[in-house]
Amino acid sequence: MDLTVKDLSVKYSEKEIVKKVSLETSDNSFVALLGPNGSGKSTLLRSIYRVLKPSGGIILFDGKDSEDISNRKLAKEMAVVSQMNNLNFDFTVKEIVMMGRTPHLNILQSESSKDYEIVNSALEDVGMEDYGNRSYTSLSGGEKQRIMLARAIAQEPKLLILDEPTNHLDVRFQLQTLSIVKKLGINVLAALHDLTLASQFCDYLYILKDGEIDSQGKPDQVLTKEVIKRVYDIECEIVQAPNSKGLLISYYPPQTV
Amino acid sequence: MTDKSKVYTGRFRLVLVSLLIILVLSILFTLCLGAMKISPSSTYNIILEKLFGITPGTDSLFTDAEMNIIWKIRFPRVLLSVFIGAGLALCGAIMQATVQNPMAEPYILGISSGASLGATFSIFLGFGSGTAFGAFVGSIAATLAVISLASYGGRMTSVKLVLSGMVVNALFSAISNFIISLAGDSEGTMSIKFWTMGSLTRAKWDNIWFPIIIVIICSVFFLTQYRILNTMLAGDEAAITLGINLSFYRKIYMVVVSLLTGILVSTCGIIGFVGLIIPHIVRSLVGADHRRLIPTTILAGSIFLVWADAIARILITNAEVPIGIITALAGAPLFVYILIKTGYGFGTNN
Repeated sequence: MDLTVKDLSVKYSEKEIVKKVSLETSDNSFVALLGPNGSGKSTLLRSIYRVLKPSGGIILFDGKDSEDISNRKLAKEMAVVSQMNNLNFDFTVKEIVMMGRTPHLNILQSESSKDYEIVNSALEDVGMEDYGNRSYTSLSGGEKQRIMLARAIAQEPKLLILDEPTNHLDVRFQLQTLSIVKKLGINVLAALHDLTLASQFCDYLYILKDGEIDSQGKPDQVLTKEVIKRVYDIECEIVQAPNSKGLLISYYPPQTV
Repeated sequence: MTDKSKVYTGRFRLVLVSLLIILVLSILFTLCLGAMKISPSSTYNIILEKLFGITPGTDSLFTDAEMNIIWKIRFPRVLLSVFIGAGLALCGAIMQATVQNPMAEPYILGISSGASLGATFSIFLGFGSGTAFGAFVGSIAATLAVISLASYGGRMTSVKLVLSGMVVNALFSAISNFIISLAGDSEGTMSIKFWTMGSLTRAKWDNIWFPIIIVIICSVFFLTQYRILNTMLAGDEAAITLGINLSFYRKIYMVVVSLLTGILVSTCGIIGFVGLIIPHIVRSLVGADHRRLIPTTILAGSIFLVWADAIARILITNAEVPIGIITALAGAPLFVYILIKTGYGFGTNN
């Protein structure tokens, strides 16, 4: 499912956090949203997945206005991995991942063996197949993050929204997570912090600064010394990575601490 | 680490069947308990005769007085306690999912006080038959008050929820006690004791069906809602992105729970803590998944209240202890236990 955002603005108690942002995810590409803390990445994503109401602009899914699509219909096509995954109640990992099947099941319909297969293969995808019967609350932060990704995969989405999916993960699982996501071969829009990872995995980047798109384009076009200096106020050196299509970025510490 | 879901699923049927058996046995056993001593054989002969028309072969084994007590007083009362218990426990489980907080319960949140204010108010104004409706309006008002107080200025936390419940509880019960004091002991007004501590003494064949039917309808309704309830527990963002129209279902559930609370309170006064104790214990037996939680909670609530009412009948000779005292004696320590032990925490991790 393609996502098109046109002139989207979002206000948070009178303050405009996102200002007339337009972006697009289509042709099953992996698109990243970069930018410093507080630049409005999460707010933008949350208004796309309908937790926040935009104050202006439109959001289109496959060219259709978001307001004309029910939550349930959208959830069959779009999955979200957000940063909010606290739980006060004790569910097992399998039960959590099975929640991903919710939009596909009617109220009185019970889960079929197909749903269980989907859940199991989603757990395999994130390398957590042995954890199915563990209690979710007993998992570490990184494990929880992977379970949330498994739940999103179980939704069988055509569009995946990720809000800093590599938080809490060690190097191996950061790479693994992004590889899994890439391998799904669907449209992905992810807020990321790590510019190197973004350059390695993403097809297209949007850089957000103070709620506005500062620059956009293919990783090697966008991630330049000048842009990084302007957006993050950090000096750096950039070279082509010897072992991947990504970039290596080496930063200088900020002058004023 | 234990293999929890397998344990839970495997255990679920066993738990359900055991509870069903325990419930039937409890009903049969507690029928023999009461102020007047009636032998078990008389009791069961009366029940057999009345329910199945089986008359014992020999001469009548029981007196008319015994028959009146068992059939006209005790049996409807035990029957009512089965459904009141189920309803109270169900209210707790649903509220906990709806506000995503394991400490939510109609009594602790002051919803019951709202219901009792509505009921006493409508009795005071002379709408004798509108008591249940008054109680419903009262519980809706209390629900709105608590939710808006607790979510004022940001996210609803356990502390804010419990404190708001305390405030609403204190205010509403003060007003309803004031009304009762104004009315004195006139006809149609029930005592403060009845409303604040609960009692099933009013159970008669002609007044138990309405609450029973409402409890059955609500139970059937919520048994079908397990998937949405589960998603609610996963949090607002998750629910929305899983396609659940969260605010819609939350409103529906709150209205149904308020309705149920109103009817339960107008039937038997405020019986506290059942909705806290039962879902909590049941979660430790079958896990948090509502598919298993709801049926188990309903049965466990029934058993608990059947026994609580039996104890209320027999604890003091020739007198009734209000049933709310029994449930509070069991519930208050558990409430403290939940606060301390399980880290649902006063604000720390919430």
